[in-house]
Amino acid sequence: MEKTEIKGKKFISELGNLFKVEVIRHQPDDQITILVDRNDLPEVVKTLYYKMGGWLSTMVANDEREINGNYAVYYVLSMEGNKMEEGDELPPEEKCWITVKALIPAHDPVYPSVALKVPAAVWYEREARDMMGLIAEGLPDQRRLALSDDFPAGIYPLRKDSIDYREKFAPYDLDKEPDYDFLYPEGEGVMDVPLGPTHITSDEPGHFRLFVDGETIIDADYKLFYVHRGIEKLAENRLDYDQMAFIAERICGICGFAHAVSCIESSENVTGLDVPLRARAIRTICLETERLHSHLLNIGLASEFTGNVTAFLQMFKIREQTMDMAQILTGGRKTYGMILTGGVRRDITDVERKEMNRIMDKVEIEFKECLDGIIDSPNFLKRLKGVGVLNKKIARDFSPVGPNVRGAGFNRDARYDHPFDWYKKVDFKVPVYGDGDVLSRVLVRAGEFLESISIIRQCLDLMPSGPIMVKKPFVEPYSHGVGFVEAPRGEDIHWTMHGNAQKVHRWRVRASTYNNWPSLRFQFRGNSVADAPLIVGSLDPCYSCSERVTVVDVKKQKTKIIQMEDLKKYAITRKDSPLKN
Amino acid sequence: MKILEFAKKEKMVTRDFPVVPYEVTEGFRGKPEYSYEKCLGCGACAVACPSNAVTVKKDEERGLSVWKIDYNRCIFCGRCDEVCPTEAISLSKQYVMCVLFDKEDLTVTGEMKLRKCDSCGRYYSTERLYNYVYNKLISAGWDRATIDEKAKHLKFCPDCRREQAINNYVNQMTKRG
Repeated sequence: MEKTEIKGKKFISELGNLFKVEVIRHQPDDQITILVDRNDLPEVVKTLYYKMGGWLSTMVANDEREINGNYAVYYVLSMEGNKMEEGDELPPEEKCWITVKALIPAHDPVYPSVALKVPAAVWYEREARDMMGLIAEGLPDQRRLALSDDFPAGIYPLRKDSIDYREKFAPYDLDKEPDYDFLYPEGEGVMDVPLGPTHITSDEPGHFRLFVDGETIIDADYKLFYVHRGIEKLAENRLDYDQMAFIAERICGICGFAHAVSCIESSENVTGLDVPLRARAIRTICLETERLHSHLLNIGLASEFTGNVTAFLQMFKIREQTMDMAQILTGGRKTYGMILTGGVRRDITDVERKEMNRIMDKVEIEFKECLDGIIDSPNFLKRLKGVGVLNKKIARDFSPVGPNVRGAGFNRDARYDHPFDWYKKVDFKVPVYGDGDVLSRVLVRAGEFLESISIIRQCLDLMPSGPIMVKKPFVEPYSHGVGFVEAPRGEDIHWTMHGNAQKVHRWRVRASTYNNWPSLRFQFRGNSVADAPLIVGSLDPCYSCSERVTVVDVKKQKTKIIQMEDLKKYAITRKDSPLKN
Repeated sequence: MKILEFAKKEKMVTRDFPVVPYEVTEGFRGKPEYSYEKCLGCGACAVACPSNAVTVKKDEERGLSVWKIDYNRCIFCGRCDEVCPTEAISLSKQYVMCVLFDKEDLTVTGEMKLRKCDSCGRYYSTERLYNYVYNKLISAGWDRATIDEKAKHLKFCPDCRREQAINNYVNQMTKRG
């Protein structure tokens, strides 16, 4: 890999004039880590965020007591420019990742809250307090985020000493599982560990509270993280880099490949591994195939929520063909099991290439016709236009990602801002619509769908020959890096710190939707209850996320629980409001 | 309604699934099929398996090595297929895996005789793996004496082998003075 100038030096020298900044690097050329004092943290992040055009991509709390005796927090910012107006962004050679690190002494795990200055950090800091016991002083929202409310206080699952690693847990026999009866930790040695991070996608429960005045939502709140799967903790000190990819892709049922690539590239980026070009092209093709079927699903769902079931089924008919493409590429209907550190596991033959091209031609024509049919219906436009508007200023504050932010007029796209894999070599446009409503998001997805087909075509045509796998490199212990991918739902960040024995020390997964949730509340405001599923659906989490909705009428002070089925029925027919009586 | 015109274009695409099986593409990753005859019990698949679907355990009492795959845990990644030296496990095109009532029906087990170390008498490997390596040595085309010399090391467990290597080294050194 050719050595280029370290990016981001300009920002660091500007920061150096204002604060005491120490540069430490463990990372490739476009990723730079700075160490600041914990008291300077909010100001440094604020300066990077608002003055220099950064967006908060992820925040990691890490237990480094065995390395340097401290805890640490890392704020990972993607430096792209403010993007509030057209042209207001950094030139490509200045775009980079800046990680702000602050050490927090183990005896005093407190740091000043960044969320007061940069609202995007609020969920991250709540999670850091739950999982690592690091208290953000002044954090506006003091509720628990990730842990359940009955979880014993004082146990922080992601701390290294919270469980004994020598203990091996056998797979649980469901017959022997005790009944749900919490509050049992009594006496010494009893420990209950809810493992890992969660990921807000398919079939996940979440409890939404909509505060309504009549039919209009005036505010909303939601509790998620009901399904905590323990993937972060599972990986720690146990999984090697080959196994990690297979676990990572199980995070999501739809953008699994994006997670695998992101996870693997977070370690490849650190070592500067020169992945063969053919492997990079195949990764790109798989990522785009994933985007094809994900966007078809979401456009279909948008039609279903507005009562157009025919369009929904037609979209699924087209989607089935993209699933066939995935099967040709990877041997499964989902793009799973393709990737290992150093390359990909399966090559594309010429026969497969021709078959892919044939399917894509058909899909493209059918999609255009079908979309035309959907958009043409005035009912559809009426339901989507002006609904669930994401204000531009709120979007800037909360760093949302994916079609959500692109529908609000920002051209944020990891493929465009930080071209990885083969995206440097292909031509593509980033569809941006400025209204910020549900319609804009649907149109962004439609535009991206066509761009994806064009990207796959270019990759298949220009793909060089050569090896698809190189030998695994040695990863330096305690080095850390960011892996980033533009998943169908937006930027998907994995942050990995590598430990001894080529195993993971800390793995932080930030799925795309995580950044979209905090601003959802503002998107709800002022809309009708009937539009709530549509708004949630337009973020493209799974719609079952709003399985159970409690509606609180502010005037009457009455609470009523509505089943998702009723609400969906009301969203379609707009008759027989479940709020009545 | 344009969408209805579009829908009319193609006839019914719903397939008569259980009657007419769904055809998978070439290279589909389906249920891993296990061939007991070919298996050596080397455990390479168990090491590679990311989801611990394949396990190899020693049953010291019966002197058996128990190879087991649990399809409930399998994620069909095909790593076992990649690493198997004898193609004893390979992915098939089968994707329907339903069982009634008993989850154990979704497991396949193979038991192989273990081999004792000639020196310390502990189990260390399967008979099949020993024979496989021995036959490999023969197929290399050496003469009898060389093969015997090389095969000597196969008969001991890794611990004893290490001990012998050290002893040999020490002996050589002391002889030399």
